[in-house]
Amino acid sequence: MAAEWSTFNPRERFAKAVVELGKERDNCMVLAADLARTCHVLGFKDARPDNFFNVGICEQNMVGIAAGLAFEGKVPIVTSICPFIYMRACEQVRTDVCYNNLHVLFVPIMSGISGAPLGSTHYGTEDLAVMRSFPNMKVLQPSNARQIGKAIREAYDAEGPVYIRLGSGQEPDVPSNPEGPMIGRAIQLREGAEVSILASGYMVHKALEAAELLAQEGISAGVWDHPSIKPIDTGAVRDALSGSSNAVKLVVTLEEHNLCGGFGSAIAEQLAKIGSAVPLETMAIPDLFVGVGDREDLLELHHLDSESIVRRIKALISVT
Amino acid sequence: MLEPLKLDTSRMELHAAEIRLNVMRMIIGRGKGHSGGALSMVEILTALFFAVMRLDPDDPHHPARDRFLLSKGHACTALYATLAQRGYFPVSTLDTYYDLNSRLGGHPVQGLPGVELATGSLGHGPPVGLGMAVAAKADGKRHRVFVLVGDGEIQEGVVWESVLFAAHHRLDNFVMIIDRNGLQSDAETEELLSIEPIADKFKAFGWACRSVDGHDLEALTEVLSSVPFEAGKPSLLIANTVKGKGVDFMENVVTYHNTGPAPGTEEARRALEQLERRREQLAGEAVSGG
Repeated sequence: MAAEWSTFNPRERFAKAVVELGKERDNCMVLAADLARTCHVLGFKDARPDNFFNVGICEQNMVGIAAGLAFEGKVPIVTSICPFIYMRACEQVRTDVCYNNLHVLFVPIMSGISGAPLGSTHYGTEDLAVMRSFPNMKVLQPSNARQIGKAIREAYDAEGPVYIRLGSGQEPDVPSNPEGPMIGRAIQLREGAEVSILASGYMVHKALEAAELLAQEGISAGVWDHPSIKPIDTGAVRDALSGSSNAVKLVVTLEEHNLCGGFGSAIAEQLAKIGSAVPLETMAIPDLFVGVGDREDLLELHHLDSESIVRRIKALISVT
Repeated sequence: MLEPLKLDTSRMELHAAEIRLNVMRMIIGRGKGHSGGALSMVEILTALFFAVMRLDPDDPHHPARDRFLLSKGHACTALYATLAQRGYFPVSTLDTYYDLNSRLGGHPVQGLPGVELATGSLGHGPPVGLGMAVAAKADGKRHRVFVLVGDGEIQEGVVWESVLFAAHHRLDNFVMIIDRNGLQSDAETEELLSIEPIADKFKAFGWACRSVDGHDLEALTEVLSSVPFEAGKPSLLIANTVKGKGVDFMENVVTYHNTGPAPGTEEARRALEQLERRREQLAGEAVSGG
């Protein structure tokens, strides 16, 4: 039985964060491509009308404009639905912004399959793979309301491009409060001796639910929240290998993203570098196009609900 | 306050001849480079850097400078040679073209004085330039943004996104120049994917348009000094040019888009000879003219 979570709306929290920034920072600009209402940035437009541009349905032009603005000292926050940033304007993100190392914030909403049931035209299930492969880019994925505010502010004060992956709808407001810098840091949410579950964004609550269910069956699982996917917290990955014992039996990653190239791949790269002998299970959306359905039903279909996660972990532990 | 150099035409012609010769020296020296589109835009760059734009080679980041983006970045040798000629860096720096970790690569990159940003993926210059133009307007600055695009480049869809935006926001500090040499990588533009009538298209999109002989330095200087062509509108200048200009056997030859005469060949010798002769002729005229 899943826990009862208080919830938050990522778009509303983002809206609050940009209005706050806009009031404080003269150079803060927000760009939208006919999705200002969807991305909840009309409040920013009201607060700072001269710093807001709705460029029309022209995402490539939007990102190019953002590069030019950033070059001149502005700090543009680029908003849209996830795939229209990381795919439609992919080359502008890489070449205009990252290659020139310009300080632009990209804030896609409806990442992962949080746009369900709109279908794979509007899902963002490969963005982590793409974005973390661009030099200079930082990639963040907040897991609760406070982290969104913190991510926006920290990204604003950072240098170079930052991609902040947001979901949609009501999401569980997990208790995960980073102290100090968020970029490059993970947060341990639960101690565990046998299994370490590493998660990011929306999947953090699944990790906590799974750990609770495992505990009820006498299996001790630790949980880490990785809001910073690039740079990844390598120290936390080492900590996860040992858990509260000398060595856990299994490391699991959870993500709302294609199996290829995302958060699980980032962790796998670190474990390979360390030379870890601990088995790793990367639980993600399989390498396919996700169909129509509610977000939760689709996650269950692809074995990313907490009960499926528990079943998988138990099966893997029993054979290791 | 920065002011344009406003060099007289005869001296600019000598600079253009020197730039053209240096372009060919770089490309032949390395056996690599996009020669045709570099040679076609030499006078456009000469007019901009020696007569039109407000700039200071000793202070390349002067906040009041006019911004220039070479969106057709593959033709970078002409930009490098122009920047050297204008005094941004020594002409000897051109010898580092294509060296390991050189700032003079196959497309412009940040770090070379006079280059604002990395460019060269076609269609990317206009949107980035628009961001600069928006920032200038927002900050009440007077500088202009000049973006030089290739004619084939306007086949890129994002160019038309930027054309819509510039007119909608009445960015009369934004100037797009098309190097209309008529050829793209594979064929004539009108044979491959027609872009004409260019001026009518831009006018219909709300731009003020002019055209000019893109090798006539006096005409280029005059028309580029008159921007914006209309208050409240972005300006388009169609510069009619000859691809491969200045080397008789290269002119209007499509294969010289991304090649040059091979080092050590008779073609290489002839190309350099023609450009050297042109430079000597102009230098002689300059001396005899006092």
